[in-house]
Amino acid sequence: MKKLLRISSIILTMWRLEIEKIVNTRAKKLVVLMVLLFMISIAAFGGYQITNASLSSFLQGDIRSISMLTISMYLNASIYTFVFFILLKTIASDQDWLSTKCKWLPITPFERNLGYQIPLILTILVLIFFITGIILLPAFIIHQIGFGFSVAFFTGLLLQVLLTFSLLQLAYHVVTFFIISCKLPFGKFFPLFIVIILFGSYGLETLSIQGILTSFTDFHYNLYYLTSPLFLQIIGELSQMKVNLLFIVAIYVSIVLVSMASLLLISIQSEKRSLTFLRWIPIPRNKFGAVWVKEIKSQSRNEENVLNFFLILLLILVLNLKFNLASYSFLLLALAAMAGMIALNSFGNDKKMVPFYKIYDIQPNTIVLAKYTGLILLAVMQWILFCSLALYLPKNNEYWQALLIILNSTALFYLVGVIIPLDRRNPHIGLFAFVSFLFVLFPIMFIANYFGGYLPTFTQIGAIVLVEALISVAILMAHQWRFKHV
Amino acid sequence: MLHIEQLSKKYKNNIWAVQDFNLSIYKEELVAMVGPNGAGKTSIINCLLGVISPTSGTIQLDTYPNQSKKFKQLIAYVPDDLILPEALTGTEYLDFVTSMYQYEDPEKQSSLIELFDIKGAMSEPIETYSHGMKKKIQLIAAFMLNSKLIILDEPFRGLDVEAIIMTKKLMRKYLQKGGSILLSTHDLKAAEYLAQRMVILSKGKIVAEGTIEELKVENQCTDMEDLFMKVSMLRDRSAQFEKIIENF
Repeated sequence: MKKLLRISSIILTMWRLEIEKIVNTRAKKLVVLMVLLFMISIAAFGGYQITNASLSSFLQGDIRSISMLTISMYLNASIYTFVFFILLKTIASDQDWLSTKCKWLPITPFERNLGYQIPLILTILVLIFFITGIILLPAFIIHQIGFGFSVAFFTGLLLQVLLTFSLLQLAYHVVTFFIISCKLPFGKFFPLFIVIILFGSYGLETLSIQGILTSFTDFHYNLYYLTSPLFLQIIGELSQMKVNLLFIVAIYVSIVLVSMASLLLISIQSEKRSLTFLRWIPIPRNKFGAVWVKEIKSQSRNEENVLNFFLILLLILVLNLKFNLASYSFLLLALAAMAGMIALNSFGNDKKMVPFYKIYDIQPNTIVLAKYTGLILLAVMQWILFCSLALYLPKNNEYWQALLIILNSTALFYLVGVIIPLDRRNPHIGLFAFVSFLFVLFPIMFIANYFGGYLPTFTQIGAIVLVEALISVAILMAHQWRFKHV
Repeated sequence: MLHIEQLSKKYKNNIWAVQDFNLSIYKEELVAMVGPNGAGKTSIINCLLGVISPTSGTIQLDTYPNQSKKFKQLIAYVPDDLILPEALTGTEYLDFVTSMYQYEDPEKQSSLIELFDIKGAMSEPIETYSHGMKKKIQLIAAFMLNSKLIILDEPFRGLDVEAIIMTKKLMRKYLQKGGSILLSTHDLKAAEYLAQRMVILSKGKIVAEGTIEELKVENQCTDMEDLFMKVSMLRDRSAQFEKIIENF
């Protein structure tokens, strides 16, 4: 038990240090604090507006409203658990660290894995209780709802979060075990990818407004809000609901126990497997060609890029089945922009080679050009595959539009990747880079759209040429600056 | 051959990593550069390779300054870190290096692959390699070129015994064929065995230079460890070490 807690405390310390690395100045701390306070105020106000009506109705004798509120809050908690689970697993590489670096320590795989789960679930619980508390507590306090009621509500919420977390862990561990046993690549991201698909499709297939609305009389069994009848039972408001509590408890206990048992599954050390796409392409015997082919090979074999590609591919497949994408040509153009994302980690993946490029005597501009053209080729190939899958044949002018979008998105993503280089040891940097990119891009898009309409065509073309020139100069300057300082 | 004159490097935090460093390495000569951590060995190598700019001083190979294309063409380098494009296979990486140096000798390359016994792994991505295999591929990439000088930074770290023996033999052969080697290492035994001359650095400055025998005689030492402790100014601390070890 002591070892278990020690592992948990180390993991928590590592996470704290990671956060401190990002929020490392007084100015940043102040900004974070202000954003947090703003978000809390907005959430508390918005939450009160929503929950106030339900609670007032309940206090006036409408039992249906509390049933609805409970189901919706527990459903929200499950969705939050899912989102935070994926986020934390993506940005924290500590489980890999634990499984490799702690292999020799006198601890069992169960202890090691559970030691990792404790901080994970604790973080998720703190975040969800914080969010739910902000939304609900103002209404609870104003309506003097009572301590017992609040405790019962949050206990039910805790049980629901634990259930969803157990399910996510179970799915994650089973897929990981399968991957390790079959010696497949992508030890970490593939299980997350499968978990997203499983939980997304389960939600899409089983959640319905009708089911939630009728649950007041005939409970619609769903794992996303399975524990809500337990809370209603405690507060004595279950009389009108047709539900088998024993069945719920049995399902709950089984899932938690099986999930705990799954901690024993991931004891095998995964064997490193990697992709060797495009091995048949020879490395040209000139410097530009060599860097160009190296870029194409490296980026097409990169785990994150391959998974991003499959994720988008799967999304298109699902959306195409539901909505027939071929009739929404603008979506295919949006996919052209997404194809450029392959450039985001290009500089970061290659950063350690910069000293060697200096030794090899290649100019930074040659490298930029070789990398950029290689990335464009990959992005174009991706877009063609996206279109094929959506059974969409672009019209003549759409080819050009898509190509222009690809050229620009690849350039912009590459630029962001040079300014904030991605680092495999700090995966959260990727998220930070992507969010920063969106924060900068949206206001620019808004301003361009707003003023663009008022300008004559000639000025518009001039502005576009100017922007393109600025992007090119920015890439070259950023690259040269990195070359000097890496 | 290689001439380094009055090389100094001051970093932005006002710390002098290297001060007034002078060194010449001649044809068929191996010079070992040793010193405690932070003595300035890596800074010297980085200045030499043009990775960082020196604050002052000149570096030339024959008549070519270190920033020139010809200089870079004639130098091969094996870093201490395992800096490699991990997504590429071993074969792809060697082809890449070949393209960078615009020099190809397939026969030499395949004999080196055979020597280091990694033929089976050449079509696998480098990220699947062990530490030793990564070092081997770096050594092959350095020795397959048509260089005049090879800079080796801890070349034996991570290698198995057989590979260490092979590498030492290869180094000797390279010297016999007219090449020169700058060896940066903490392995005093290897330095003693291989080097014609040795440079001992401490706090960015040369504190001793000469043949191993000369240095031993000068400093009245019988073995390398003693010599190292004495000239790198660690002697003062050795009494303290002894006390700690005694009480361990």
